[in-house]
Amino acid sequence: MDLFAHLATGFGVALTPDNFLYCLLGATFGTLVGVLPGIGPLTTIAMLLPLTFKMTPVASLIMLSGIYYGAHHAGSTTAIMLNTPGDPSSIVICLDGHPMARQGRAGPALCISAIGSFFAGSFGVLLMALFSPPLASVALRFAAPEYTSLVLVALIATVVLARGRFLLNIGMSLLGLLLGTVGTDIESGTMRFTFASPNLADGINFIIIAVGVFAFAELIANLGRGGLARTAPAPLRSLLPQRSDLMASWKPILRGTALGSALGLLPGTGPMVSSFAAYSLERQLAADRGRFGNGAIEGVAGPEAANNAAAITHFIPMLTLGIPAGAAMALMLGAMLVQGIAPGPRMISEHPDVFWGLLASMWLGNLMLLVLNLPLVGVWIKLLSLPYRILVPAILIFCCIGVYSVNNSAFDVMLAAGFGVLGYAFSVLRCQPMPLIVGFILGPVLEQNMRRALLLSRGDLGVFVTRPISLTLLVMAVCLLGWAAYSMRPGRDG
Amino acid sequence: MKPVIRDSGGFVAGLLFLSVGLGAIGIASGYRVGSALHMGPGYFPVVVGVLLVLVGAASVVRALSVTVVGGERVALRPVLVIGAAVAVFALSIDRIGLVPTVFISALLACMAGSKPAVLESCVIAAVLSVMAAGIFHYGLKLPFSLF
Repeated sequence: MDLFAHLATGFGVALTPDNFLYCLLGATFGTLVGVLPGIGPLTTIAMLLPLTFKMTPVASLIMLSGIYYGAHHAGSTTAIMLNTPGDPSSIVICLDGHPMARQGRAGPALCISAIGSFFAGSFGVLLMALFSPPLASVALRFAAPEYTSLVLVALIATVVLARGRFLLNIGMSLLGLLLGTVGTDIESGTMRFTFASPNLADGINFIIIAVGVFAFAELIANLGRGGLARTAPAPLRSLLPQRSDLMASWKPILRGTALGSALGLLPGTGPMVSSFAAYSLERQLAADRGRFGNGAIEGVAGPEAANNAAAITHFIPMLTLGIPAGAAMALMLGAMLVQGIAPGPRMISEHPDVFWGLLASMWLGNLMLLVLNLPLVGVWIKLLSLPYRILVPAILIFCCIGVYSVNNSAFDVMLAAGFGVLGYAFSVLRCQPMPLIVGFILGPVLEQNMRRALLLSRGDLGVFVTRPISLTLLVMAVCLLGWAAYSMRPGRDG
Repeated sequence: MKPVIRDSGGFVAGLLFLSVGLGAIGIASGYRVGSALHMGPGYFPVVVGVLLVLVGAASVVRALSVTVVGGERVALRPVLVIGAAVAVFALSIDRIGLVPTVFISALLACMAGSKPAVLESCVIAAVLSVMAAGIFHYGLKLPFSLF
């Protein structure tokens, strides 16, 4: 069968010594930042991106995605042991994971979450292998009008489904679209918003914005909250779960995996929303809701599976359609563009080694995480004693050097400083940076396709509603907007 | 009744969107805007600018009627110090080379916390300078001059 041949190619690529090493490196690094509060996968990907430019495209993607799913895998460790989520997607793990640890059941909680993560991750990879090629072949038939509508749906879904307030999200998305227009207009050669500076003629590199609004702004915000408080870790006795734990967990793991796989596909939701949704699902289904919040293992198993399934399926829209479903995917997409690979329906057929290699490495990475994390829990907990004040200058310097080395441009570093301050202002104003970065990445795609579509239709806007796929997509967009408007009705904090 | 700002975050964000939108319309209408058939370079930015103005205005109006409790206090020291540390990096990297730049910038970054220890900060800055030179100059062979 075709699938097996592809998988064989993929494992062939992923198992070369170099790529295997990068996978291990990515997964380990991801675990590290997943464990350390105050530095998340976004900051790390933004920080390490420039270093990957000299690697092969496959190797760099393997490493960067390892950081991403590794961080989601490991965030639960600190949530369980210390009641401190290592990354936002494991906030809900604290609710029941930490009480379990306090009752001396840290081992089973960690073990169940590792098993759940691995199962969910593997299932996500399987879904990706099965559904990406057909999805891409559908998308191959998309012309400019369909792409315009698709990007519109993605942008609208991002602002509707993302955390934060609807109006502010729209504003952030529009700001991102505007930032995306900076630089030379491809079709006319006009310099737009460059303020006569040659430094802006090629547009703003997305790394500058990413490092500014994610890494620098996060540093400032964490410092502003007085660093990060630490609590003493819960005791860790036996790792092995009891039979009753396994019996109680397998259904939540299956449900969490299904929910997370579906939500991971939607722009704007991703791992964090998935883990929250899975938690409330488990709570709804429980016979005795009073156990939740007091160490119910279902409250660990479900969300943890959902979070990791979503972390994998999150890649599917980006790899098959070129539509990033979240901020991290926007960064990955940017990384691929720098490497000269345009993610989209053609990628799977044009660069099969990249797609299948990445896919295989994701499964290998999940396997590594399963094998590595549990025995090394003690080591990861030790790392937490690393004070944040030492991390601050290290993160800052790595980011500066990273931004500088993209174009050897000091101007870029200055611009990143500006975006850092701006990003902090956004966080004070409670504006989410995610719609901004997605808008920034998708803005040029939207503009080009809209221009092309209208040129082909001789300026007739009807082209977007007469073509069935485009119409369907636009109806989806209108439904999303209607739903958002409904939930914003007076009396609620929209 | 005098309007009261009930949601200062939404109000300021709205003003920001409003002014950026107006600015974008102002600048982009200087480019050829064109028609839907032949969109000029100004078309898309003007449309986005108009939407941004609308969203900004809506956000400002909403901030007068919907109360949002809480909000973050602005942490002035970290903003200024982190901003300055990055700016110093930008200003000195082409002039005095990697090692001194990293040292000064890292030292400054150490000062962003509430109670910086001078000796510890110097040690951290020195270690980072050596690491940066080792990783980026000798390891990855990026074109940095060391001094």
